[in-house]
This record gives sequence, C-alpha cells and structure tokens, in this order.
Amino acid sequence: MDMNQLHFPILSVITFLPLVGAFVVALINEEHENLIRYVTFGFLALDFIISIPLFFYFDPATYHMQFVERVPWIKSLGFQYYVGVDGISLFLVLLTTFLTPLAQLSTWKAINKKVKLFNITILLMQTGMLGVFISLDMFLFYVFWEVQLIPMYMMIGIWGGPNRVFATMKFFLYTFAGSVMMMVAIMALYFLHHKFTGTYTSDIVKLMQSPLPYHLQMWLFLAFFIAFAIKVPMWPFHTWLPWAHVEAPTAGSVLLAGILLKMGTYGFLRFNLPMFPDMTHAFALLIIILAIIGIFYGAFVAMVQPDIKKLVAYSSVSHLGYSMLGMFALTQVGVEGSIMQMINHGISTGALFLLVGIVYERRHTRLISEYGGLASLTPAYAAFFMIFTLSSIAVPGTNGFIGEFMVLLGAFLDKHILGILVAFGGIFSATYMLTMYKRVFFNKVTNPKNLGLPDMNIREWLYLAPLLVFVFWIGIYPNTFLSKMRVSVEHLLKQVNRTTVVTPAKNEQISMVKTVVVKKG
Amino acid sequence: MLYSTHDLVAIIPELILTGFAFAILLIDLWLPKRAKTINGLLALFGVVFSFASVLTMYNTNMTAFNHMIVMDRASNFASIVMLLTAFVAIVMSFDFLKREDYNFGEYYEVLLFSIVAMEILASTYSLIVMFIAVETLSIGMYILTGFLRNKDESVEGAMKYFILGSFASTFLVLGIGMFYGLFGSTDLNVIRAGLTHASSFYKWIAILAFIFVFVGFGFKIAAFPFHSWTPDVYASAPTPMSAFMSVAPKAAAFLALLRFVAVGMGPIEANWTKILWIIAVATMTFGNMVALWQKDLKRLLGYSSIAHAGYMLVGIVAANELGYGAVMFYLFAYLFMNLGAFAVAEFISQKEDRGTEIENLRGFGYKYPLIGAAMLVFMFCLAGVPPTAGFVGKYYLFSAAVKSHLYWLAIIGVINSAISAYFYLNIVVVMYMKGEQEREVKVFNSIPVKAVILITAICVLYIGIFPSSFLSAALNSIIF
Repeated sequence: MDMNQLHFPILSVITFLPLVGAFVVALINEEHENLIRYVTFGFLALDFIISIPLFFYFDPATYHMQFVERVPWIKSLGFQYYVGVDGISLFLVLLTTFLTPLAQLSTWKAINKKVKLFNITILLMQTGMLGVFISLDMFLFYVFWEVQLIPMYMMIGIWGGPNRVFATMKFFLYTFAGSVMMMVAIMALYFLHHKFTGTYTSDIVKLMQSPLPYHLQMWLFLAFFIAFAIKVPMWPFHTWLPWAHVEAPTAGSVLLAGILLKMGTYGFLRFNLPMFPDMTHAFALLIIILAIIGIFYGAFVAMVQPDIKKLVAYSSVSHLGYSMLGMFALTQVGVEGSIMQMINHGISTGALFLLVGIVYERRHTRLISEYGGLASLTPAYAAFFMIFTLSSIAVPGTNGFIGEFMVLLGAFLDKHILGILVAFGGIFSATYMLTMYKRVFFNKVTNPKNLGLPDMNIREWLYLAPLLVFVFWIGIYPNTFLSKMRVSVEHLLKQVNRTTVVTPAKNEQISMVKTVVVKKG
Repeated sequence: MLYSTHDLVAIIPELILTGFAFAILLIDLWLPKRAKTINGLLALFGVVFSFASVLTMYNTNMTAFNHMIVMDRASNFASIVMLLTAFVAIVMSFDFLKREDYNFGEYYEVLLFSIVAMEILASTYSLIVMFIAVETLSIGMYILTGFLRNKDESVEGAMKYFILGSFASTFLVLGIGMFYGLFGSTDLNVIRAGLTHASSFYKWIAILAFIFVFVGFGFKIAAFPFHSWTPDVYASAPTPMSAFMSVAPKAAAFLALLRFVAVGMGPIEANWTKILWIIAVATMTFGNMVALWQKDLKRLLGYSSIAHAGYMLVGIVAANELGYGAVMFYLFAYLFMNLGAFAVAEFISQKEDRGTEIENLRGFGYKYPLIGAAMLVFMFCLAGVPPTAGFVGKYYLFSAAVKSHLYWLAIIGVINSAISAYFYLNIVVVMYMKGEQEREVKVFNSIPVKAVILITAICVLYIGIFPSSFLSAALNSIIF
C-alpha cells in the first residue's frame, strides 16, 4: 500500500538537510555575516530543489501515502519514524520549501544583529515545519509540532519589536497549552485504539480506521480541536496572533502566516476529519459558525487598523476562516478549496508581509498615515503591492479567487444560506485592503520623509517575483494543483462519511447526515 | 557464620563505596592542604568501581541477609541513577570546594556513605531496613547541607532540614510499628499476604499506617505538604550538593516507595491510589505555582523539583507497569536535566556560593553561546518540550495515567506543564531577549563545571531523540 516511487529517502533528506545546514552555519565565525547568509540561503534553496521531484513523481491516482519511509523508533511502545505525503500534505511541504528561502532572502538587510543565531533559527524552523507535514506517526507528529515552537519563540523574542517578550510568551504559552491537550488525546487514542481493535499503534493511517464509540470521539475531537483551533487561529482563539505578527521580524511573520498557521488547518484534515467522523458531522455547524464569525470579525477589525502589518494579520484570521468553512462544508469542492486557500494564503499573505517589510526597512514605521502617494515614488513596489492586494481580495485571475470561489461553492452546496451569507465577506476584504492601498499609494506625497524613497532592489525582486508567478499560475490554471489532491480528498470524504461500528442508536441521525460529493470536471 | 559470602555478593557495590569512604577517611589525615583534591579523585574512583560492579551484575536477581536485602534490576537501575548523579556532583565539587576553601575529605566521605544508604534503601523489601537507610542517608544530607559552616544560611538550612526530617522520621517509624503490630513483620511480602486476608478493620488501620509511612517517604521526595524544607535547603546548600540532593535521594526514595505501594500495599490499591492522586495533584500544582514568583535560580529549581516529584507521583498513582517504568525513566532523564541546570547555577555563582539570581543571567546567551544554549536545552527539557528527555519522560508518565483511565490526572498534569513553561521560559527570556548585562558579572570559570553542563545537555538531547533503549531498560527494571 505504502509506496516510495523514488526508492530514496527524499522526505528525510529535505527535512533534515536544514538541520545539517544549521550545524554548518554554527561552525562559521560570527563575523562573516554575509557568508552565513549565503550558506543559509544555499541550504534552503538546495532544499527546495531537492523537493521538486516530489511534485513530478507524485502519483495523483492513489490516495495512499507516497514517498514513504518507515523505521522503528521507540520499540517498547511501537512508535515509528514513519513519514510520507498524500495529496493533502504534498503542497504544504512544497509551500514550506518554497517560502522559507524567500523569507530568508528578505532578512539580508533587515536582520543585522545576531545574524548567525538568526540563520540557525530559521534553518531549525524549516526542519520542524517540514516534520509536521510529513509525519504519519502521531507521536512523531507531536514531537515536530512542539519542536517548531522553539525557533519561532526565539525568533519573535530576539529579533522582534518593542513588545516582543510579551508577544512571544503569549504565542508560546497559548500554543503550548493547546498542544498539551492534544498530547493527552494522543495518549488516549493510543490506548483506546487498543481497546477496540486489540493492537497498539500510533500509525496515523491505521488510526483513521479506528472504530471509536460516539462519546469517546467527542472528547478526543475536542482535545484536538483546541490544539488546532488555537494554531489556525479560529475566532475566539486568535488573540495571540496580532501580537505575534506585529512584533515578529518580517521573515517571522511570513513563516508564521505562510506555514505555521497551516499546521492548524492541516491538523484538522489529518486528525479530526478522518479519525472522528461522527463528531465531524456533529460539530460541523458549530465550527462553520465560528469560521464565519472569524471571516467577518477579521475583516471588520482589519478595517480600523492604523498599522499595515496588523491589518494584514487580522486579514489572516479572516482568510483562514474561509479555509475552515470550506473544510467543514464537507464537500469535495469545499475541502479542495480549503486546501487551495491554505496555499493561496501562504503566497499572498506571505508576499504582503514581505512587502510591508520592504517599506519598514526603509522608513521604520508601518503606520498607514505615515505614507501616501508611494505609487509615484516607487512604481515597481506599488505594482507588486497592487497584485498581491488583488490576490488577497480574490479578484478573478488571481490565486485568491480560485480558493475563495471553491470554498464558497462548497459551502453553498452544503447549505445554500452559508454560501450566500459568506459571499458578502468578500466585500469587506475588498474594503479594508483597497482603502489601505489607496491611503498608502495614491494621492499626493504628504510626508516629506517619503521623498527619495528608493524602489525595490534586485534582491527584493528576486524574492517577490517567484510568488507572483504562482499568483497567476494558480489563478489561471489551478488544475495543475487540484488534479494532485483530488483522489486524496475523495478518500478523506469517504472516511468522513463512513459509519462507525459502535454507534448508539439515538445518534444515528447524526452519523447518517448525507453529504453531497461533487465531481469536479 | 551468621552470613555467607553469598550474602556479601549482593552488597558488593555498597562495599566498594564503603571501602573507598574509609580510605578517604584515613588518607585525608596525611594529605597536605593543596593535595586535598586527591580525596575527590578517590571518591570518583569509588563511584566508578561501584558503577562497574552494578553494571556487571545488572541482571542478577538475588536476596541476601534473610531476605533483608535484594538485588534486582530495579535496585540496579536506581543505583545507576544515583551513581551517575554522585559522579557528576563530585566533578562539580572539585573547584567549588577550592574556591570556598572548604576542601575537606569529610565532604566526599560523607557523600559516599550517604550513597551506600541510598543504595540500601533502594534494595530492600523490609520496612525496618528502609527506615535505617533513610536515617543514615538523612544524616549525610544534613551534614552536607550545612557544610559551608561559616555561612549562616547554610547552617540554617541544615537545621531546618534536620528538625523537619526528624519529625518526619517519627511518623515513618510509627507507621512501620503499626504494620508490625498488625502483621507481625516488617517484610513487605508478609504484609501483603496479611493484607490480602485482613478484615476491614485491619485494612483501615493499615491505611492509617500507610499514611504515616508515606509521610516519611513524602518528606524525602518532597511531596506536598511535606515539601517545606526543599527550597531553603536547595538554595542554601553548596550547589553541587543541591544538585545531588535533588536527584539521588529521590531516586532511592521513589524506588522504595514503589516497592512499598506496589508490593506491600497491593491489596489496598484502591485506597492508596486515591490518597496519592490528591497528593500528586497538590504537589505539582503547588511547586509550579510558587516557582512562578522565584527570583533566585537555585530556589526556583527547588520549587521546580517539588513539581517534578508531583509528576513522578502520577506514574505511581497510575499503578500499572508502564507507570512504574515511567517513574524510573523519568528519574534517569531528570538526573541529566536537573544536574545540568544546577551546574549552570554553579557557573554563575560567586564566592560564598551567592549570586545565583536569575537576573544575573541577563545577556548570558550571547556572552557564553554554548553554555547559554545548554541552559536553553535544560529549560525546555524541564518544561517538557521535545526533542528532549523531559518530554519523553512526561509523555510516559501521563500516558500511564491515561492507560489507567485517570484522564483528569493527566489533564491536570499537562496543564501544570504549560504553567511551568512560563517560568522556565522566563529564564530563556532573560538570557536572550532582555539585552546585555549592564555590569560585569564574573562567572565561575571551572572547566569541570563547563564540561558537566555541555555533556548533560548532549545527554538530554540524545535521550530525547533516541529514548528507545533507555525506556526499555526502565520498563524492564520493574519486575515486582
């Protein structure tokens, strides 16, 4: 069933290459700052290049895990080093290897103290993030899930803004408190699976078939829900996010928004949906409501932000609300849209944070009121900003449109009213993004400090242009990506719609909720 | 002859230590002041030889002295923990005693004798032998706590420890007496047999006796509400001894407690698990809550060690093999993380063993990158964040609780972990995120201490990433 078509431990190589890089960088003398930057970028770029075959050799016809590696790890309890990807995690792995080198490239000027430690941190973070997406053993998953907290904690705490200590503590403790609940659920799942099937396993693929009774599913679902909802973050668990984003250095924000938040949504797809199908149906409406509140709440709060970065941070709450909505609509197109939305958010929001970083680097302020008329001063910058703004508000032709449209369609197919209601959310996101854009770029230059603001340099072109390619690629021909995730999503929905063996009679109507599976052409 | 040579085989590790302790006692008399380090080296050799003997006899399972002493994998595993702790503590003491000008042979000699007592405590099923061992090791600990005899705090700490310790011992002996009165023996196997057929009245008396005995053990492992000596003693004792005391006597006391509850109290398991459930929750919650406000590193580690005793009690309350094995594993993991953290405390300490305020760590991560990184590892390890030994240890402790369906206990445990993350991470904040130190802080530039810090940090990571063989050893050590 499991296959590794390359006969080569490609996933381990891309996961642990950055760790090797971290050791190499650790050996370089602190004074050679540029050498450190080049070496780090080299490792990250190499990592991306090695990850490309994943895309080409991925077999879209099967939902089984691919590029699998399996080594016994903790023998007395049967934990394994078991990694692999399917159509759901494939793109998150690629997004990570793609985004991190770009984020690192943006720090060459911005980070000028403790350069060595910073680059080691970013390399370690890469290993942690990739580990989360490739783990197929839940103990291994948990280890990576927690490990990547440490570098992010350091990154915000050391290179962050004036309130960095508060922000990073809040980030760490909030996430940690959520994850320890998941830890208890992981332990319980391990023993309960044994109780109902007679085997001890921490193999996620096997646990997806675990026949758990209704009431147990509920507790486990809730424990996982807390951990993932904090990470996404869903309203009302989002309060750590604006702090973390505002205080984090640019690269930290990019990785936080681009990849770390996806761990939450990915966790739902990997654990909650397939493992607790009854609860997925039972809680779907509640989660959809929270997601919709998040969509509107994020948009409304973003409207009144004076700080560009905080605005983009709140827009994340809104965008990931779409992702959660699509997921819990439990339709083929909805879930696919949800995954697309994750990728798109990584690209557009990542790019927006990079763009904010560019002006911040020059002017050391992110207040919208400090700017105005930048379009005439820095035309290339304004053009980039425009495109990513449009992508963020989901204008047709850009990637954002594909994701949001699919999510809305999925929600509409689930319950018409949801699709109609949420379609209005788009108006609000256009409002806050375009208002901000107008105030920063149009009108006359009012602030003399902005005169002589240099336009983008080659390095900045280099890290934004690749993102631009994907804005249009996904926007115009999304099938490149959708075709690879289709079978996996179909299988996921099949798992969600299975009836579990031990279900008390009174709950039958809930587990039998019919779901529309739409075949997309 | 009263005892055969066969009996002596079972106590070879203890005999070796005793021999070296006497050797130090004699040789010390002829040593000139500048050569006193030889005492330390002798003690180190004693520990190494004892360790080697434990390893060679690791899988033996024998009883000696009319079933008073046993040697099994559990006692050997605990001995390994204690001897490793002693080894590290002795290495940490070399330069420390020189700096404080207290380089006396008695220090090492008392240390070795107390390890003998700990090993005996870990290898007996007889309550009365346990009592004698507890008393002997306590005397050693009192002396070592007040070893810097011109330092007021140190003497005060020793006095407190002594008075409270004697008080706890009276409860222990009272409990033992009650068991003897009930079942006519202090052997745990006999008590178990008696309890199995005991009337409910006898059982209630036995529960009372259990509580009294637990007071004695609870005092040694620093369980709430018998913990109050811990912070004072840890803060005031010579730092290497604080490190030693935070691990080795606990390892012995935990194994003795395990034997006591798992073997002796087996028939009243339903009762004692309830009592210990409350104690475990109270211990970890209290330790963490109070640690939140600490300003001194050694004192913080004192409170944190209370919390960790609470975590380990979770494994005992789970009352299954996984739990007991997890306690053993946790002791092993705890040894490295705690000794490492105490070694950092020693590294920043000034003469007279002062200056261990957390504030003195400001900017530490940049000034001493390697030692700072090691401290970072210890803090994440104590907080239970992977990939460290502390995480693996906590994972097994709590999963043992989950296995016994003690979900609330596990949840309270992990919430406590999250709370504890705050004060451990606060140290990381001070080291890395608060800027540089304004005034020059002199550190204790001792090469052995630095080596201890780095090696324990590597061990903590290694055990965290490849825990398999250590875990199997810990799980297999539980054969009762």
